[in-house]
Amino acid sequence: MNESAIHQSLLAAGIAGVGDLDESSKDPTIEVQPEALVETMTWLRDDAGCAMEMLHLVTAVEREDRMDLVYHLSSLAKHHSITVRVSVARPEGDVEFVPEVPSVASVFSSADWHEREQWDLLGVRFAGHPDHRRILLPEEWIGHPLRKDYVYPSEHGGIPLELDAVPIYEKAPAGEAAERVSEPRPAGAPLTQPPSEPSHRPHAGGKAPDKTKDQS
Amino acid sequence: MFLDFHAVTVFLITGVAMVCTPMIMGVLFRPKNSYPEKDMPYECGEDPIGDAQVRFDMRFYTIALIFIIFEVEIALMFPWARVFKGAENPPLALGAGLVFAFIVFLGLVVDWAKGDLNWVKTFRNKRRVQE
Amino acid sequence: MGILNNAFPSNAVTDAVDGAIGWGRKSSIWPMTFGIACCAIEMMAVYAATFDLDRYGAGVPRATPRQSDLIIVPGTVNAKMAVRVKRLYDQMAEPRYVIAMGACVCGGGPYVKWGYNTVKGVHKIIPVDIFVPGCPPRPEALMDGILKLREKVSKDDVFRRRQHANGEMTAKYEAV
Repeated sequence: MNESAIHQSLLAAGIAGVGDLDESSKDPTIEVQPEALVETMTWLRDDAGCAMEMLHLVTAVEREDRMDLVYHLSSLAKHHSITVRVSVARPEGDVEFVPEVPSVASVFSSADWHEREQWDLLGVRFAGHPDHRRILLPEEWIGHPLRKDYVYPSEHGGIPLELDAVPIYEKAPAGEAAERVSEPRPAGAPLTQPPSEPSHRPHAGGKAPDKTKDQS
Repeated sequence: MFLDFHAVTVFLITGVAMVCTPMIMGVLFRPKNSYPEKDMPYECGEDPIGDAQVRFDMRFYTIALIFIIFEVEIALMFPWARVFKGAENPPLALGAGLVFAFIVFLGLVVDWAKGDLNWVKTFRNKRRVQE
Repeated sequence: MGILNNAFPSNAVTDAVDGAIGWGRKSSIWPMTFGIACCAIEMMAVYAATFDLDRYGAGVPRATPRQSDLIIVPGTVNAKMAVRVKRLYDQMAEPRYVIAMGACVCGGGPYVKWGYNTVKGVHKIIPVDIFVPGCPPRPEALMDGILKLREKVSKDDVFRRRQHANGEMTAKYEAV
């Protein structure tokens, strides 16, 4: 079945909260409300016509005004696949935006670790997840690194993480300035700028870097 | 009489010197730099957890003991074999050696029967405990 | 203990003795097997038959830092791993040497700009003797690094205490 046929049969199942098929992207995506997510996934897995027994990927996309959760499903028996998207709007003035989405770990066990990764790196909470903790970074890490406003730490647990940090076995000479901490991205700055400009950067030809030119 | 052992004496002194000289040289010349992180127990880089003393399996001790006993028996059979040729009373010499070997063999039979030579002990002719 | 270590001035006798000791040390540098990431594959290739490291006496990798002279650090060092690297370096006995193999441990490598979790060069946490750049360096490059380390080791001071080119005397070992 192609994606619009899958979408039609999903709509025919009558689950409240299933939205439109977004055909503008490379993977046609079904928009679903967060409340209907678990039911939709269960139906897609159990229906004889769709039979989506495999969840490849759960990923999250942080946008200016919302956080999208994208689920890639496919059927090995029927040789078709579909993508499902859930959007959580970012409230105005919410600096610590932690979107909450129901967990599909009870439906697909592969979602367990994928959702832990999204919690770890992007700070998306999953209600009902059996083991909601970080999976890649150390447990005591602060922050969610793939967020656009993430502040890069200068050290973690005594280990220096900056490019021009003083080695820990050398004592810094007295009077040297404290370690630089990166600034959060100022509003309006392009998203591709690194959070801070190190004072030296490998450059070709051995010439000093030209500060007037754009260094992205 | 002691001069008859001159070869052994030289051998002994050389052996002891060959061991002690590198050790003393090492003590004098090696750098000493001991600090707490260096002295902590090695556990592949992680924090050491658990007790350093582990329960030791008795079977290792049993097997090692049996090995030692028979190793010493072999070591004692060699001089017996060496002096056997010039013995004044060959049947007595043969009998003495065989009696010695037989006595140690009895010990092997007891070990064998009790199952100490098996690594995995199995139940033999034991009455089941009534439930 | 160690009272004669670095105790004599440099003269013909001590130079000869230290030359002999240096030759012995450089011909039996025992590395520690400590493969972290992709550069470990090239390090294994150096140990293996084609690029055989055993012909330099360095082909007996030890599993424990207590028995090794050299730690080759191949592969990206994260914040999590850096604690272990530092601890393993601490548990090695002097004289100990470090080869930083690969772009990641020489100065951050591909993670120098956006890596939030990586140490930008393992020289931030342990003192490094030889840097071998590359991503990954070819086995011949690591071999070249080990040969340069051999030259460095052969000039070490055991008996004598010399003045080096930068004007300093041979330093006593200190805790890092």
